Amino acid sequence: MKGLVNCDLIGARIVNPASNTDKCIDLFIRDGRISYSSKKPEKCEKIDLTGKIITPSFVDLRLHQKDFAGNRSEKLSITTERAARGGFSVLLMMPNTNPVADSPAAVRLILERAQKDAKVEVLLAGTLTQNAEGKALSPMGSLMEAGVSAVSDCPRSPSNNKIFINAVKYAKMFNLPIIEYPRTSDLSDGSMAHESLLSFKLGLQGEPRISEELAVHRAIAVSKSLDVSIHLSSISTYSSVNLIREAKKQNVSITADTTANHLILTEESIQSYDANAKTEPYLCEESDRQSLIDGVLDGTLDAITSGHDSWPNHLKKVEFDKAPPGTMGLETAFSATYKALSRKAKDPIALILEKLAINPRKILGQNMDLLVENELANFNIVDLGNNWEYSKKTMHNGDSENSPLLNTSFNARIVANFYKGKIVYSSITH
Amino acid sequence: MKGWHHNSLLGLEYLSAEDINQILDLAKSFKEGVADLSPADNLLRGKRIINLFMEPSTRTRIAFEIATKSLGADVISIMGEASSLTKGETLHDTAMNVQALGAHAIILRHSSPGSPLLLSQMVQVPIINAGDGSHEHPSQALLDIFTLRERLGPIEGKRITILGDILFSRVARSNLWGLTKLGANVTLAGPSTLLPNEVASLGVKVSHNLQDAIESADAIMLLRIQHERQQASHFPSLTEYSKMFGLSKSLNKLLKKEAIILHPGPINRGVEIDCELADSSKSVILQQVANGIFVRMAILYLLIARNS
Repeated sequence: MKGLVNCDLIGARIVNPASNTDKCIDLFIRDGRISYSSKKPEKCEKIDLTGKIITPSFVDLRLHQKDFAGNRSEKLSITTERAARGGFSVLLMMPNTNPVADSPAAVRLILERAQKDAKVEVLLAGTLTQNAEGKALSPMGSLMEAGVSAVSDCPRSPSNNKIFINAVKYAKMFNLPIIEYPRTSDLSDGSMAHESLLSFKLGLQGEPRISEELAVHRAIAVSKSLDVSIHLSSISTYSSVNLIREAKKQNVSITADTTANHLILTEESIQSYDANAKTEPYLCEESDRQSLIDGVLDGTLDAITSGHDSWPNHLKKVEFDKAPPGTMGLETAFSATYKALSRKAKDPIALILEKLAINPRKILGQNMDLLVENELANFNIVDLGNNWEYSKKTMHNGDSENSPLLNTSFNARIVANFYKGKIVYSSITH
Repeated sequence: MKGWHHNSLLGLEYLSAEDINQILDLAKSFKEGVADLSPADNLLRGKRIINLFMEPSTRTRIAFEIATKSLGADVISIMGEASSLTKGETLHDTAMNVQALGAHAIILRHSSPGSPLLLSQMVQVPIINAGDGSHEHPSQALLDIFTLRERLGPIEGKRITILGDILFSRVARSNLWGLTKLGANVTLAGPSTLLPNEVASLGVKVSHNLQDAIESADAIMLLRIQHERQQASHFPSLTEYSKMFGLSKSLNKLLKKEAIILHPGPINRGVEIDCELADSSKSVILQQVANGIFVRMAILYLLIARNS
């Protein structure tokens, strides 16, 4: 097959928490497949990876790619190029696409386009309710047949409790992962920022912390009552972390994630009304950020997502309240996570791989045979100690620049991404 | 201008006590017609000021127009998001057009918090914030403080109560910054739904009891209740508001004899304040309006003369 790699990767440390592997061993790629012993052809390229780490590639539980019919969103080819640079091989696209992923026809159209344009694998979540409006259940059985990998109303949540409970019951029949973006719409509608002293100073209508907290409460209660697993997406507040921690102690079947941006940034980023820092959910306070880090460290938070949502520049260069929420994150998720956790975790790389590679696969019910002999190469090469700055120059050139981490320096970087036996990104020079 | 180093007036949060006093002193000189500044209508001759009012306003716009003309500058007012210049346009495009019209300063009234800062990043000319959403309304607070200073003397140590819808009020925010920087003892008062307790960390007292809030005050600054927006979700009715937080004539006996009452207008008579008090000798509401012109002359002169 064209593009399948043949090379010898010499001297790297291989870390794979799925098989409790952490050792230095040479890896030989033959026709795109992994081998732990050197086989012919012997004369293929040898790459010295001393000091570098080979890891399973990442799986993102929350990507927004809004438009398959127009130009309000960056092209999927560009988004997935960003994903490749960030070390991701699988992306779960939320259903607020255009068209909305709430009918089999829309799902087929979107997945067909995704297969054609994407550089890495793109999965799709269908809606829980029709048009994600929270009024009537979506045809989840048919959506599954059409190819969805999960169900969610993200970035909304059904406000009607009866609809939510029935949607969860209904989704359970198909064993579809349920992803809940916890929000209480009547508390969040019209908001422009996290409610705090800063939002008061800036004159921005705040979203109270309790909006997320109430929805987390509900998800925990529903999960417990129906004995259904629910995954909580993009947790942003300390109060939610505390609730999830307590629920897990009682063995409630809840999993949760936060975004990499929320581990490294706080609401201070919007002090000058920078719409590139208008994230979804909003950035909160330092106490929230610290609590999210603690949640990642102690296992309360299972996964870390990019929350990637790219907007063309002209839609973000407007008045703060008029700018849509959502920020980019694919290219920086790993580096930002490493920056946030490297001094806090005993074994930061293993912890980060749990959150970016292992647990997201478990939540989506994906194959866990990672870095296995004779499988197609699906892995990253990571360089810790690689000092770099995320900037307009170092990001992949596209229509969007809406990252709150522009001009931020990092000391860890993905330097190559092998996907299905091919190199989809490499900055390694010989 | 000696000691003045701001290109724009975006809010009082970003000014020092010295900056605020400089504006107020200059406004006083304009009001007194001091020789150095006479004739005033020569000071900005040949300058073109654009009033960009994307949200309705009467007194602020007119006061800026009079102030501009009093300094000899030309003023052009562009009003409403539906005006042919701005129809459907982004703020960025509007800004570029206005700059191309040869503006020496832009006075912006806009419903979006932070829009004057955004505009100041897009164009080279000074921006004057004439009210941005719930964020700030610096010229209003400056004229309020000017009036307070005129009536009460130095602001330091004075007890000032700001009463009403604090949550949505840009006037409250600008006054909060200005008054605390000048050393006043500020009390914010209003219903708990319109006054977040966290504000106390900004060095002010928070009160939900009207009597406590007014009885030792040297001045009471009333805020307009924008009942269209807040009713139902923030307080039960105007009648209830008026009963609990309105400055009724029966409360007059609780006020200090020399206490004064301010209001940025337009007043909801019988809601925020009874007619008798609004028209009493305690009220400085019309004095505020008149002072607004001198304060805005000072702002324009400082910003434009500095940039010339």
